[in-house]
Amino acid sequence: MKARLLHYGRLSLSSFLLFIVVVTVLFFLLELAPGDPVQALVGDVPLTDEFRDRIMAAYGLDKPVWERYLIYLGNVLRGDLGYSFATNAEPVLDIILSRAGNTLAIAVPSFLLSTLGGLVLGTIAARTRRRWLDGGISGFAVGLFSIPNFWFGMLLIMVFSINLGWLPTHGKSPYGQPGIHWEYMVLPIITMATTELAYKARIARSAVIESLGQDFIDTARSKGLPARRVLWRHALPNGLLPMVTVSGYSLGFILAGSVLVERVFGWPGMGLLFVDAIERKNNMLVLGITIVLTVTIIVVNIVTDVIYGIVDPRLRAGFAPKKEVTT
Amino acid sequence: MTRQQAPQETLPAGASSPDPRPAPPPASRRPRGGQSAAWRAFLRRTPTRVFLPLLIMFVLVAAIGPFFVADPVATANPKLLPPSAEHPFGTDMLGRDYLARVVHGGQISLLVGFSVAVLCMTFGLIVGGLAGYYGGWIDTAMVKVAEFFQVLPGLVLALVAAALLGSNVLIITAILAITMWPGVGRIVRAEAMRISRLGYVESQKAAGFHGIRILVSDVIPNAMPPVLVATTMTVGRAILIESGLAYIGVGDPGNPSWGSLLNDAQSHMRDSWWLAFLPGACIFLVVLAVNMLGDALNDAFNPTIGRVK
Amino acid sequence: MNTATNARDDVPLVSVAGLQVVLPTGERSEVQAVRRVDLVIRDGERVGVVGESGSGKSVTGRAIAGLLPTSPRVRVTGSIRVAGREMIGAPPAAWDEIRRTRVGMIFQDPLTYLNPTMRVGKQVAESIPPGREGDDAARTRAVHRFLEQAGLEHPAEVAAKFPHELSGGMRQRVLIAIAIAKLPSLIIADEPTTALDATVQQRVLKTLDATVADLGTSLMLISHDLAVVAGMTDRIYVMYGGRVVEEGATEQVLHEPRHAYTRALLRSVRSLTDDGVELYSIPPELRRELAEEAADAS
Repeated sequence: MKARLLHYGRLSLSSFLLFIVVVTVLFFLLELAPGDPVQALVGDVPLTDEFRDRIMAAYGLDKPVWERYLIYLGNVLRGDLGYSFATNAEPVLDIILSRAGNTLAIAVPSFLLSTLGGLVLGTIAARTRRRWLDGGISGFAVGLFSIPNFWFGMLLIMVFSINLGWLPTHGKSPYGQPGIHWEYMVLPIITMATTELAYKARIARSAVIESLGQDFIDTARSKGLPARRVLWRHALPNGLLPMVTVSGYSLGFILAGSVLVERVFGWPGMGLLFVDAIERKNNMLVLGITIVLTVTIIVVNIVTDVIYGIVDPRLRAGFAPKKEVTT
Repeated sequence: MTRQQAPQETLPAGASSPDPRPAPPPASRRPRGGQSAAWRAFLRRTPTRVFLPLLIMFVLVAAIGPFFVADPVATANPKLLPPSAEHPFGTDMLGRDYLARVVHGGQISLLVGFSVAVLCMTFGLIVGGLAGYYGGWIDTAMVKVAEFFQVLPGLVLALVAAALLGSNVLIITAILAITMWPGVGRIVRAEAMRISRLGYVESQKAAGFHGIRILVSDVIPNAMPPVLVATTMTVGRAILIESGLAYIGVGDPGNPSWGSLLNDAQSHMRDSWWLAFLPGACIFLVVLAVNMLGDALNDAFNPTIGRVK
Repeated sequence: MNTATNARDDVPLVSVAGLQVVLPTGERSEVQAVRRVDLVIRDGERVGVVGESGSGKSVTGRAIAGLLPTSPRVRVTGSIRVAGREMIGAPPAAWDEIRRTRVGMIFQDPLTYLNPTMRVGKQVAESIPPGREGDDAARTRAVHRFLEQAGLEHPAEVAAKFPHELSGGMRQRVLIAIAIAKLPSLIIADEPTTALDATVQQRVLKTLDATVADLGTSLMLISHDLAVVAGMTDRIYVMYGGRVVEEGATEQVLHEPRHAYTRALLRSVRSLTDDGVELYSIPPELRRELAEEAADAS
């Protein structure tokens, strides 16, 4: 018990430190940006002298670097991610939160779809005696994650929206209407999920093959258990433990990839916000979104760790498992 | 950061961050006949025979193609022509010959991809080797760097950096290399750790051999097969991320890559399918080729007996 | 110790004739692990199979239990009759049935041979053919009984634990419990004590001895350790290079070995245990002789 508390304590601490490092790096990137620092903060917005003075005062731009850093860090820790001047000086955090829901609306289904699909395909490929099926699935998987996901999205649009007219081409709902209509979600979700699915299928396949090669499978077989039971009760529960970790990372990738996918479909989520902000040099917003993304990934990692600790009985007792799955 | 190990597997080109994605199996499973036999096995494999020529073809076209195609910036032609005999890839929205644009774009995309991979390999060998062999602060630092790039995905960091610092090919290459080297470094580190514990290394140390020398003579040659596999996959991943950057608009405006072409094509999907289809297909084929070759390398150097139970 | 004279004259429990097993060793290579082995185990008999690693003894044991790798590159030819039924070429369902009720196997390394995420009691319960014990409560009681019989005190506590929470000796006893829980006719024990500490080895062996005696099952004890096999078996097979080079009643083989290899084996053992005897290892000339013998025979 104590070992676990210690572990989570250390995890929290290192996560927090990691967060600080990320914010620091971002701050210094901003510092390095060439040109007028005030303009860099404010973006493509014309500056009056009075405005400029206010900015300099508010952000302490006349102060030395390390002081500015501390001010910025302090702000971030308090949840103040600055203001988006390019869009009516709204607080960055508010803008992000208002759009986060849209991103999650496609990110979460993509995550679930890709995880489930990956598990199923990977297990089929691992178990089958038919080499053509295994080879086929593996080859298909490699093909899928060699595709640039945004190009895949464009292809989907060209085929299904433009050519066949089955699905809308962009946006989240018919023009002017609020909310999210399901037929607008289909293509973005497929686009987001596909690459991840291929990746997870490969890993699941490796994991199950490795698991089926373990010694305790022999013991299970020696009990005369039918092959199905050996798979479901012995091979899969052990083999798919690494999938917990992989899934955690996968969510991070999906969120990062939303930058690309949302641009393809004009989906008004955080990704599109990010792209917009970059175009308009709205750097506070850019940094703000990056920070929110980082925090999300850190939290997801911690949750994954916790889940893994619950699911693997060896960890419940405080042992560290050595699980290495080889191709 | 997390205790559990991510599964060890080859890095696929498609992920946007190196660290948690698994690495190839350790090189300790030697095939019979040593490395030259493995190379021969590699060259015999079907995927190699299909994709190595394909990749070489792309490289050649990227290298010398620009001398043979039309001027990519000449806007003299009619706009938005579909592919024809005169313009095999059609023309784009400004009347430029698209084949020329794709070929020049390929130069940039492939240049970035291979440069990043070479940088990753170099840096990964050096730092990973030192980290694995000596341990200590180098090791800790490397682990921390890898963690950093896991929570701040390469794509996002590259976007931010390119947006803030300016987007040109050099900066993008540098940033991608920085974000992706830990993936290779990990493999070298694992191999260095393994070797540093072997018996005969102890005796070499006793005989006074320098750590550096052991690194060069033993660790690096042993680590090369999985490192090569990972480096190959890195080419693909780098191309994908660079394309993504260019697609968003953060690519080098003076040096458009395939991704930049896709950026331009975004608003023309309805009327000019070839604008989006062709550069993307090139990306796909190159990345596919590289991934398949990486897999084939992996299979040749780490043959498994096949599913045994 | 049961004596062979108690064996009935009818069909032996296990009868192996001309067994050959080919195993893959690489992408393109394979090895003949077992070359024409004949072997018989009668009801209630205890048979030892001795040899160094690579002799094919484990493979023979696994072949009888049907636990060879399922890769299509594995080829098994010859005859294996279990309780009179020919198993080579039999459908998987037939093998499943044999493994469910007739043949139990105890493996070498209890840590890797137990499912790390399943409680030990459940793993033993899995071994009980469904329906034999009645309802859940009866089955749980049976599980505790078997754990106790395998030498584990406080069986209820042990049953609730995971394998990593037990010591090596305890885990091996769990494997024994798993094997006996199906009330088999034959137990194949493949190096059951090799992975254990020396002090624990003896105790586990004693337990195995006692359980086999209590249940009256046959035993096929596979080991590289002559001492282990000597104390517990009625008959012995000595294997080398995939072949049986000598067989006979244990006492006789140990005291009057006929084959050069058996003699060399005994000599090397004695050289370890007796004072004043030079350390002996099997000389290369003998190995060459044996290789020639093998070439002639195949």
